[in-house]
Amino acid sequence: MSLLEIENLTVEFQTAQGQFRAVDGVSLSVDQGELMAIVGESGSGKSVSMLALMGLLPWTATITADRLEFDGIDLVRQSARDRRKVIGKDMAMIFQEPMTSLNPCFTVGFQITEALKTHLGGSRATRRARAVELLNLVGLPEPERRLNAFPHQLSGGMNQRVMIAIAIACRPKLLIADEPTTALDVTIQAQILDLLLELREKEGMALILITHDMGVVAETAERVSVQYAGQKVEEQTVRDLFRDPHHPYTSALLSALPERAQGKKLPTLPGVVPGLFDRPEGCLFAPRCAHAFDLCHKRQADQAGAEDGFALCHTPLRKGVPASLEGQVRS
Amino acid sequence: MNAQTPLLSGDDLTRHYDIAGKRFGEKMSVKALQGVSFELDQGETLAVVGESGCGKSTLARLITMIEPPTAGSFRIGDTVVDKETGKPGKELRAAVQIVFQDPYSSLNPRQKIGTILAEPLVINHPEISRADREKKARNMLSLVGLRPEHYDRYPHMFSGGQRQRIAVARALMMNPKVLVLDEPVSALDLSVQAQILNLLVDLQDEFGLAYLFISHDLSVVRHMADRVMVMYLGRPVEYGERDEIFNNPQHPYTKALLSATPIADPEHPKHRLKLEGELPSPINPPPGCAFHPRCPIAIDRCTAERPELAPVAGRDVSCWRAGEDV
Repeated sequence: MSLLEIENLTVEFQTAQGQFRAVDGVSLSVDQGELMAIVGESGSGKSVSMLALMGLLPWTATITADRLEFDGIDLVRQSARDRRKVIGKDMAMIFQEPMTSLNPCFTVGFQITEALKTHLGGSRATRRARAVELLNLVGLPEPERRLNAFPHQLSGGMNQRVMIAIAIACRPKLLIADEPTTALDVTIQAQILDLLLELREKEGMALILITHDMGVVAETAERVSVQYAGQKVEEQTVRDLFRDPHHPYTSALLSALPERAQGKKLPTLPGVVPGLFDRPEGCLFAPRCAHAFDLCHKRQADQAGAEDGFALCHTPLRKGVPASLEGQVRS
Repeated sequence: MNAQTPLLSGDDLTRHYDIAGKRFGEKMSVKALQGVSFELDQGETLAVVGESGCGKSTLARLITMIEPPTAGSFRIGDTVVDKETGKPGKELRAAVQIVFQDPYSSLNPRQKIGTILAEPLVINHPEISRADREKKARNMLSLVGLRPEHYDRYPHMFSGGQRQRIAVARALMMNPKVLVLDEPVSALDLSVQAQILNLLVDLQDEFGLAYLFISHDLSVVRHMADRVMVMYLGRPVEYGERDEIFNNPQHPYTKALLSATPIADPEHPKHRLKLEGELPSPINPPPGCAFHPRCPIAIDRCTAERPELAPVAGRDVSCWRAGEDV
C-alpha cells in the first residue's frame, strides 16, 4: 500500500470576483521512501495542492477530494485536532524562503525544540540534545552555539538547513519540500539538494519535491508529475519524461530550455497560463498548444493510459508526434 | 575583437562602501567591487556570473552611472568616467540603459504604460512634441511585441513576461548603445523566459546593442553570451570566450559553479565537485586568494599571495594553480 494516496483533489478559493479553482482534480500516489517531483510554472497549483494536504490553507479555500489518505489515515474525515497530531510529525513541509518562514523573534534552538515538545514531549535536556543532534545532521557547524542564534544572524543556506532540521525533527514518513532551493545560490543549492537526498536515505522517508527547475528534477527525482493550470497533465519516470514527453505542454516546456536550444532562437510557448477569467472551455492548454484541433477547444480530454504517461490529452505525443485519433478528422 | 577602441570598457573598476563601524580607529568598508576590467563591443554580449554578493549588481550600478566608482574608470565611446567626472551629462547617461530583475517592482504602478515609456523623452528631450513622443512610444510597444491598446493600461494589468517587455521598451526609448540586463529573466517562468530571451536576441540583431548580461543562471548565460566573466567576492576570477569557459573551465570556482548547476538531462553523468562552506564577508575578505577557504586544491601560496588575472589556455584566470593538471 502506498504511503500517500490523493484522488481527485480540488481546491477552490473564494475571491471577490467569484470562485477560483486553483487545483482541479489532481491525483497522486507516493510510496514509502519514494522521491516524487511535482513540476509546473507559477499558478499551476503545485504548492496549493500540498498546502491543502497539510491543512495549511486559509478559510477561503474549499477542499474536496474523493480520497486523501496518508499512512492509512483518512485525512478527509479526520478532525482538525487529530490532524494536528500528524502534521509536523509524520508529514512535514519546508518552504521556499527560509528567511521568511522562520520566526525572527525566537532563537533557532527554540524553534526546533518547539516541534519536539509538541509532538514527542520528553525533558528539556533531551530535547536540547536532540536539537544539537539535528543541527549536526543537517551539517550546521558549531551546533551548540547556533542554538542560541536568531534567524537574521544566519545566511539563507544556513536558515534552510534549520528549516530542514525542524521538519525532520520527529522523523517524518513524508517530507514535502516546496521549492527548497529557489532562493539560494547554485553552490548552496547543490549542498541543500545533496542534504535532502542523503537524509531521505538515512531516515527512509518519502520526499515530494515541488519545483519549477527542470535541472533540479532531472538530477534528483525518480517519478515526475507535471501540472498545468491546476491540472495534472502528465506523470512519468524522470528518464522517460525527458526522453519522450507525452503531453504537448511538457514537450514544449522541455524544448524551451536554453540548454536544448539549437541556434540562437528558442522555441517558445505563445501566450500565458490561463487566469481566473480566461479559462478556456475545452482543454486548458489548447489555446497555446501547437497540436490542438477542434475537439481540443470543445471538450476536456480524458486521462491516457500508463503507456502515454497518463497524459491529459486527446492525442498524446509519441516521440513528438501526436497519436492518430480514429474517426476524427484533424482540421 | 577589432583594433579600434571598444564601445564600453572598464579599467580597474573599484567600489567600496563605508560602513558605520570602526575597528581600532580604522574605518571599515564593504569591498563590493575590486579591480574589474573588461571590454564590450557593439552587438556583443558580455555575461557576468557569480553568486549573490560577488559584486555583479554593483558593477551594473557603476556602468549605469547610478553611483561613481571609488577608483578606476570606464569608458563609453570616447568619454572617460571616473570618480572625478562629477555628474555625467545626459547624452552619456542615455547611452547606457538598464533592465532590472523584478518587473513587478521596477514599474510605477500609478503610471500608465504610455507615461512610463514617454518619461525618459520628457526629461531628456523636452523639445520633442507630445504627439511625437506618443508616436515613438507606440512604435516601441509594437517593437517589443505588445499591442497598441496596451498604451493606456496600468502595469498591474500585465503578466510578468509582458511587464519585462515594457521594461525593455522603456530602456530602449533613449536609443541606448549599451543595455545592462540585471537578471532579466530570473523572475520569470520557463516558457516566458524563452520569449524574453528571443526578444533580446532580436533587438540586439536589429540595433546592434551591446549587452552587459548579469545572471546567476548558467544555462541562460551559455545561450546568450559571447564572453563570460566569472566573479567571486568582488573580483573577476575567470574572463574569456564563452565556449572556452564552459567547455574547459580553469578556475576551481568556475568548475564548482558549472558542476553545481543542475543539468536538465537525467542521463547526464553526475560527478559533482562539492563546494564546502559559504561566501566569506566582503568587509573582511580572506587574505591571499579570496576563494582559498573553500577551494579544493588550495596550496600554501594561496593563503598568502593574491593571484592576478593572467592568460591561461586562451582566457584570463586568477589562480596560482591554473594550467596545472589537477
